[in-house]
Amino acid sequence: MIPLTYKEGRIVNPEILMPVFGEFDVAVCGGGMAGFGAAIAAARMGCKTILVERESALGGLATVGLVNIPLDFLAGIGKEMIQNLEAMNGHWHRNSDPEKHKLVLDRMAVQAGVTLLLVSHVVEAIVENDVIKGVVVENKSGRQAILAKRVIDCTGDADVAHFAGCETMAGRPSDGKHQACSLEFRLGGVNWEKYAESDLKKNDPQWIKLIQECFDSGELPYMIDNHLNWLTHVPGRPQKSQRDEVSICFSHSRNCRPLDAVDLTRMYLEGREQADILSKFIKRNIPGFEDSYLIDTGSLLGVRESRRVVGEYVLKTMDVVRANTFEDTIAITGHHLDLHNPDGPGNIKWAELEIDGKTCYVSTLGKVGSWPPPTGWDSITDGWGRSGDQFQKKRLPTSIPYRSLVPLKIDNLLVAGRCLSAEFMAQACCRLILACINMGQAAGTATAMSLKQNIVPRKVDHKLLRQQLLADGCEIGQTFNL
Amino acid sequence: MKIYLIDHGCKKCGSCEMACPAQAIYMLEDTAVIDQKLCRHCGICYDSCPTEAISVHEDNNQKQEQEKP
Repeated sequence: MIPLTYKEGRIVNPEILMPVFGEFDVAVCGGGMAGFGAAIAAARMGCKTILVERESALGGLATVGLVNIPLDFLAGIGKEMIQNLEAMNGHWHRNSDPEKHKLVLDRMAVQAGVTLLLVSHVVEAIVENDVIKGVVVENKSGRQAILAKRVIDCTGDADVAHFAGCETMAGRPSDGKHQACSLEFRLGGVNWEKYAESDLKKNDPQWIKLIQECFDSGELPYMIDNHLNWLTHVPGRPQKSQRDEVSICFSHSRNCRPLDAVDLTRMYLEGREQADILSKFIKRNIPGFEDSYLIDTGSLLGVRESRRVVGEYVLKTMDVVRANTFEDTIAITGHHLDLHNPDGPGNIKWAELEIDGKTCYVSTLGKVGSWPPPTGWDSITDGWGRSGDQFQKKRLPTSIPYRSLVPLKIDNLLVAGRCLSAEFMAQACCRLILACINMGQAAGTATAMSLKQNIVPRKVDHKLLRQQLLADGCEIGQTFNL
Repeated sequence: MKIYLIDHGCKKCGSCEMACPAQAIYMLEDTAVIDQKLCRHCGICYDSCPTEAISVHEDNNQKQEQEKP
């Protein structure tokens, strides 16, 4: 217990003496896809590695969050993970079984010799002379210190970087608003064949017309979202017996503050109410779903963007739309500009950029998305300001440089995952499940190399790092001659 | 030899475009498209589509049902 003592309107927590849980070469904070990739990479290169995760399973949104759609480049540890999942009938055409996925992650981590610490929150960073020395965790066993020579922040919210005093950024520059959040849900009892053959899937595959009709008629109490975001067909479950399972991304929480526990609570309640409304709407209106039922909602909210570190390089939206390359590219991503409307339904797939002194509305895909730019669809240009016949059709992947994983000021700390150093719209392309594990692998590899060479991570030789990643089967642009 | 076509339900996620070893797939405004001149009929695009929006046909134009494991 502590006494009730006030100071300056707050309650004093007396000095705490924390036991040291352990001393490690590498502490990876966050066991989602980025943390998993980082921990496996570091451990396999001989580092004594601990992976700290606040949920009860690894995988983050991919498992606990039911985002069972592992998109982006299949390479390295991510490819091995998917192959392991396939071997147990847990993956097909880029849809995964979140439950089997948890098992695969557990087994791969244990096999690699990673020390796992689940249901544990990282609550502080230990820093001395701008060098990170470890982190503080809180769990059922109390408040403890974990000392580590290197720390990798895969919390998604750049929590460790924030605790350590690194400069960070959050939200859209113009108004500070964040990407909308979504709580996934899963339906059972689906007749997949009927849905796949239906006129609805042929003519209105994202249910845009149907949603508008049901909103106009009052059947939908409000426009939760104006389209179906995505739908996956869970592998390995019964098929052709009207017992298929489908995961749905359709919920949409607006005006989010994903770094505020009160607003996170609001969004979980809202997400579950939306799942209730939408699962009933789906059952009434979607062919093949007449006998469907709600199995569950995600135990982890789909936060797309929260806080990002300011690193040695801030990946720019211009880099994305021009497919700029770097001499320190450590991962590539094929995702396009993708903003889930922060304060209304729908999505926005263009960005406002200055090109040659002119304001342009740039997209790599063309005139797509829910909302046109202020000057209309015809004003959409490519990254060079061209439109019409000259619009750059061939899409090239986005390159992510090592320097976007390296925070400023604090040494022995790297980040990986959605909290990378990137502008708001650039980050929107760099957050898919396999992009995160690919970044994690790069961070874990660089960390191991920095230990072997006894240098700080920011000094790791870029060419040697890329050679190591290539040797480990990573995709760093070589397939596209980047 | 099987013919692969991007069908209804394409969400322009780009998975097929990224996965294609022949770089035979490109994006248009409302769908991905397979350039049949470059296609090597390997089926990797079919395996990579998360919304099952690619259909497979025999080259005599008859549709074939694909069994998934």
